[in-house]
Amino acid sequence: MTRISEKAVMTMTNERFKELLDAYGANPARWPEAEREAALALAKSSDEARRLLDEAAALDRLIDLAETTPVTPELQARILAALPELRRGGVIASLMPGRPAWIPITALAASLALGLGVGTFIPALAGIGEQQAQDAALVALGDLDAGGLWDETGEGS
Amino acid sequence: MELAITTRPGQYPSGSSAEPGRERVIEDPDGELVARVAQGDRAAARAIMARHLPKILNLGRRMLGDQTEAEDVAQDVFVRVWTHAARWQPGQAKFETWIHRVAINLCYDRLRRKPTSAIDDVPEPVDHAPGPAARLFETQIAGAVNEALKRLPDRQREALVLCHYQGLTNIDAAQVMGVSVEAMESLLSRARRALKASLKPLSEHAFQKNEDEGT
Repeated sequence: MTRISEKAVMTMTNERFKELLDAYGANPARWPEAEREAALALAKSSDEARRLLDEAAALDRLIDLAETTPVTPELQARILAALPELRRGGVIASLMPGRPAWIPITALAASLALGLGVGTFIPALAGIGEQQAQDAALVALGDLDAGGLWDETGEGS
Repeated sequence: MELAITTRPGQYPSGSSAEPGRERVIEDPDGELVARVAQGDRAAARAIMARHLPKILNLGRRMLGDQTEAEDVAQDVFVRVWTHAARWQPGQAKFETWIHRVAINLCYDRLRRKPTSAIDDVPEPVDHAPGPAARLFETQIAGAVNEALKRLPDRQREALVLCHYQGLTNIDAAQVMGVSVEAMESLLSRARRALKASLKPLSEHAFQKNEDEGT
């Protein structure tokens, strides 16, 4: 194959024109942009070039007849079914738009770690929180006289 | 054969410059949609699927020669789109080029698992005897073309699929294939030459039709 040179771009030779057709076929839209204009000019001015063009077009027509596969609604549904995962990721990502999702995730993780640290190292506050949580659970269960529960945990009576 | 990457004046289309000494800035018609997909925008996801699914599906069909496998590849490609959208870096690569690269890689994963597949085998001469071409219906011709495509060596088929069927520019196709434009062009020429030989009876019919029509 002839090495593409600047000269070939400026002046289309018959040899290069044939190489273009052999590779890209007869549709100028598929030709390299840099050589398209020169190739079209040659096609207009040369009988031999037009003969080669017709020959390439015949092969193009056959290649274009290859079977195609239509997109089915089932395939679309399968692909869209993967989107709920994306949506959850999108909610996290939307906490800090334009930033990678790991940033808000890291921020959330850091907040949790800070909360755990505060709970561990300030026992008084932790005790209050624990008592409030137990009270809330009993209210929710509708059983403020749950002696059995207190007995079982060893914290009542 | 010269396989080195070469550049020449005007080789790179405006808006997608990779010329030496210039910053590579790529205008990507899909960039905004991908960004919206990253934010969980289902309408954007549907839009990008509508834009690219038919081509990706048929890329798989032509690379693998099997509709079911092509659908599986297409699904895998879009799952990767959904999961990678948030990490997409606008301006560094065209989304269309990236999605083709992903699809081609997935096709090769499957081709490698097929015992009959051999990458870059020299094609055997084809004894193609379809009968009188004039009696062939279009669907039969289509089947013959598909069979001829299947018989191409993988890399030649890849070049033809990307340039002819997918409509990628020579530069984008070479980028997807990871070769120089010259190497891609050489694969393309060999692919068309092999197809021409395989489909000779059909092409003779086409030439005859041309002459009959006076074209």
